[in-house]
This record gives sequence, structure tokens and C-alpha cells, in this order.
Amino acid sequence: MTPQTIDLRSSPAILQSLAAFRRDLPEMLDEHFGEWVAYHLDQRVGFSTSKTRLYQECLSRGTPRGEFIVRRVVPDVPRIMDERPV
Amino acid sequence: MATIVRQLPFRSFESTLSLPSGETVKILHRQIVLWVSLSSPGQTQLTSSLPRFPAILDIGLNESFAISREHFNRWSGLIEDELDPLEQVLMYDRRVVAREADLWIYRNVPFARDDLLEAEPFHVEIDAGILISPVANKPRLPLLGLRAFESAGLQLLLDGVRQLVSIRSVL
Repeated sequence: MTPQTIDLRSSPAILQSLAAFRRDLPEMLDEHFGEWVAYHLDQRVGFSTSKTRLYQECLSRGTPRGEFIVRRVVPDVPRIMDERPV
Repeated sequence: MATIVRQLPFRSFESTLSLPSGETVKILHRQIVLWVSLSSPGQTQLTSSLPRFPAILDIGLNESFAISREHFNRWSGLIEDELDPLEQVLMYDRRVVAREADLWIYRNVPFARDDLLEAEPFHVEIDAGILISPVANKPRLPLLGLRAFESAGLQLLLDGVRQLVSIRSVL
């Protein structure tokens, strides 16, 4: 069987959206902790208690999948997966 | 407050479990099994064609959901490249890209692990993606971690005396 080649690169639009999310995160943590927020490129689309609602909002504006992000407003830390010892 | 999983038993001995496809998997002693499906985000209902498969509840997992590539390809009904790549995560000392997805937890018949209710599965909106492992056959079974409990506002009630688990939503 041929090993599957996986592309580890995110799209430039997602990277730009993530950068905008991280830029604004400190101020959002004060007033919107735990809510969901959507970003398209440099723009904040909005807040909601529902990720799905924000997804549908972005899609209804004509923003294609892969060009926006929806994240929870929680502290952003470097991600290192750890699990129970096996 | 809605109860999702009611008095789900876990066992102090090894057992087997059969997937709808007929494939069987080994469940080790004291592993808590939930039946789940994955979907792409933005759906208000689970597409009926997406299969269900077992995941181990692992509150020691500091991410939302981790699955081996073999199980993802064989069990999820999804295509990895069709899930948006979000950001890189270190997993088993290797870099992987978290993929945007959501998860659905099936509601069990009380006191039964593998008998499920007809009701719509509970939608867990996953924050910051799921992890598909770069290491063959790791994790041994899919893992549902604490971050998913956090983003979905779930409460876990674990009764070690009666070996039962309940999960309810508080949002």
C-alpha cells in the first residue's frame, strides 16, 4: 500500500484569520470568554454561543469553507497532545 | 439540562464490541466507551450516512478528539483532505495539522453500552479541530478528550461503585 501523503499546510486565508484571532484574543477574553467568534481574513465576523450558527453565517455571506475560522474565546496555548499512559 | 449518556456501564474486565460493519474491537478493562460520529462543521443535523464508531472517554487527553489515520479512513466516512486544516499540533513528537470537524455522541439505553436510542445524537461543537495521528495504529482506539467537554459544556458523573457513567449538557 502506498503511504498517504498529508499536506500540513493551512490555507493563507486560514492563517491570516488565525493571526487576526490571536491579535484580538487578549481583549476578547475579558468580555467574551467562552463564546465562539468567527474571523474571515483580518475581519471579525461576529460572536455567538454557537459555532454552527457562525459557520452558517459565514457561508451565507458567500465566504467559502477554508477561508474563515470559528474559534472559542479561550486562552490560546501551544498545543502538545498528551494522553493517559498506555 | 439534558442528559446525553445515562448510566453507561464500564467493566472491570476485557470485552469486545462490534461495529455496524461487523468489525470487532477489543475494549480493555475500565475503558469507558462512547459511540460517536464525526462530521464537517456547520451542520445542524447529522447526515444519516455518516457511520458511528466507538471512542474511549479519556479525561487525561488534553485535546478534543484524537484518532489513528487507519480508523479515520475506515470508520469516519469522511475524507481527511476535505476537512479544513487549521493549525499545527505536536502529537507523539510529530507535527500534525488539526482538522476542522464536529462530533456527535449517541444516546445509550440506560445500563447498556452498545444499545442506543433512536434519538438524534448530541452535537459537540469541537474547538480548534480534531487530531489524526501520524503514527500507525496510535491511539489504539479513538479518544474523546477534555477539551470537547469544555467546548460543549458537558458534565461528567462517574460512579466508581456501580461502574456507571453519565454525561449531561449544561448549556
